[in-house]
Amino acid sequence: MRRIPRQASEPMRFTSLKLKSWKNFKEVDIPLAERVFIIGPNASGKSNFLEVFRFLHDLTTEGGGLAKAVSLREGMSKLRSLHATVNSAVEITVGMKEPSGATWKYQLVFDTPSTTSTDVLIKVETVERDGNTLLTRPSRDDEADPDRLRQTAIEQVAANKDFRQVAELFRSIRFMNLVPQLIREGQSSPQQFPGQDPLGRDLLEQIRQCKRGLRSSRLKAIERVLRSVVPNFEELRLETDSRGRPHLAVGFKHWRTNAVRQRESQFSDGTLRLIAMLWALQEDAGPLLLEEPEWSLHTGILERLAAFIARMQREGSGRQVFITTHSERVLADAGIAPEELLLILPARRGGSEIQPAARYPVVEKAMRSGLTAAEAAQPLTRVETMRLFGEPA
Amino acid sequence: MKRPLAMIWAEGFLDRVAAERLAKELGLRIEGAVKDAGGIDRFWELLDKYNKAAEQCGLVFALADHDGVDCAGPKLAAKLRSRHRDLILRLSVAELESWLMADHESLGEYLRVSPSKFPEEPDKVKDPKRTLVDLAAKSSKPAIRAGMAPKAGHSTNRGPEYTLIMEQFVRQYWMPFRAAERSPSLKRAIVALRAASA
Ligand SMILES: Nc1ncnc2c1ncn2[C@@H]1O[C@H](COP(=O)(O)OP(=O)(O)O)[C@@H](O)[C@H]1O
Ligand SMILES: [Mg+2]
Repeated sequence: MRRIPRQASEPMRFTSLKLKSWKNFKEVDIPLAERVFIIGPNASGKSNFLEVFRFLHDLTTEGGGLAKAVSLREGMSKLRSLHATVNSAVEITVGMKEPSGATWKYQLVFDTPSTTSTDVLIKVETVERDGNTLLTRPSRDDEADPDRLRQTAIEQVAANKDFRQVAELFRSIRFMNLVPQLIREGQSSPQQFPGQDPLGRDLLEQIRQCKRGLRSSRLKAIERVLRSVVPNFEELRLETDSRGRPHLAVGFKHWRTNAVRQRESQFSDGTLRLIAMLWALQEDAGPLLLEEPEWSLHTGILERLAAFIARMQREGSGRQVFITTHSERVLADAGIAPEELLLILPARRGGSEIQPAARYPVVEKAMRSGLTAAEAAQPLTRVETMRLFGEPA
Repeated sequence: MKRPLAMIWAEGFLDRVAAERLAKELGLRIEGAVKDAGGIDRFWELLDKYNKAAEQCGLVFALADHDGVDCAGPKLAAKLRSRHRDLILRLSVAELESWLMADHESLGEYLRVSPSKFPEEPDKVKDPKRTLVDLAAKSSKPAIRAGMAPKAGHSTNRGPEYTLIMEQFVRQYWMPFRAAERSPSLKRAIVALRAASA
């Protein structure tokens, strides 16, 4: 088996996150692993958590920026936490690590100048590398010209030269929420760049654009996964039809004929979603956000999902993966460590708080002894348990 | 004609895969559901239902780890007293991993660990999973070490790909009859399955 050497391609990733007044989180301060599972009941804030990374993406993407990223989320009044002190500023601070071991910190605090204003202004923006400050705002220039505080340095090519890696990491964040019907139709939406369409409409095109050798090694890895879960599955290939459009074709070993072939139009939703996800997991790209991947994956995949992700990370590019889930099946894998598990629980003063399972001594010890996340951690996030603690003091 | 298995009810994922493998090795067709409980509590909780089902639909093969059953002695005794003869309840001694480790040759080659390092009497090993993970950590193959052993700083007793790696072993390489030569408890399970299906 050919393997891409790990060290060469292991990308930069997030190592920590601090939030103040973000959506239903008043305060967050957590480390982040290479593979992160976010668990919590409905409406606890799982999507809001992923939203932080989507915000960082929107901040740095072409046509993005602070004003745009805020307005896409319907303004400051929707972003800042209703549970924080009245009209407190929003803060996002992320820690990062390069493969070389160099560490980075990016901090952004922003707010509106008054409750009635819709302007969004930077209160603090700092960048550190290995503990040395590369940027501190507001700067003297900002004080002389306060209009400058409408734009972050990280969103400006001219200003982010010394920390381009950070801007690139943010821009490479990808959110995935696949709708199988749309992959089939193969229509890509015009405003999206390849790999940025959360609905995965451009999967076929992305596979086609990938360099040949790489493409076949990735399809082979997907093939190995499918063989282990789909009875009689044989091969997965990219084909082009008479009109030049790309198609995925699979072959099955059949008990009567020698082989049966199918194109993606005949795949089940679960199969398509799985292929798209397995492809994305191998891409040499930034953090991947997977929103409740259980929605149309087969049970057979769910119980192996955590291990598949680890395998794809090891064999592929090693991109960081964030997964929100309530699937007991996904969490029944004892290979998931409490350090990789984030629990969303109700906060004392309203809203939610998020903590690594490793911070709960009982959960950490139970998992160390071999209990699964489904057994040792998930029950803490059940609604009936939450009510016991959930009422504000 | 051998009697087929109506259903398989297993404690966890790997137990389920092993139960299927045993059925295949013995040439037993499985007619109905193959399911795992995702944990020992649920396994015992629903065992009565499977016991009743066995009365109606024939052989049910139920497989769980023996781990911790000693303290549940009275509970187990009660279950066994009312056991229908078509419910074949087997407990691997300590853990399923003893049954797997008993096939030194296949597992040694699969994990790239010298078979001489494997326990001679796997049924007597106190913590078979730990023993197995420690052995795999000495593999000459980096993918095995990375997949089977916990990552540095992670509080788990196995690595992130343990499930996949061991599943593949059970499905493709494990030889239950050879393993039974070193594991009396596996041998008893095979004998019981043979007798029930005869
Ligand atoms: N600015 C805010 N302040 C406080 N709570 C908020 C804010 N924005 C959204 N919420 C709350 O967040 C919850 C939704 O979180 P979401 O991330 O969609 O949950 P999940 O994905 O876990 O189902 C809702 O209860 C909503 O009221
Ligand atoms: Mg949600």
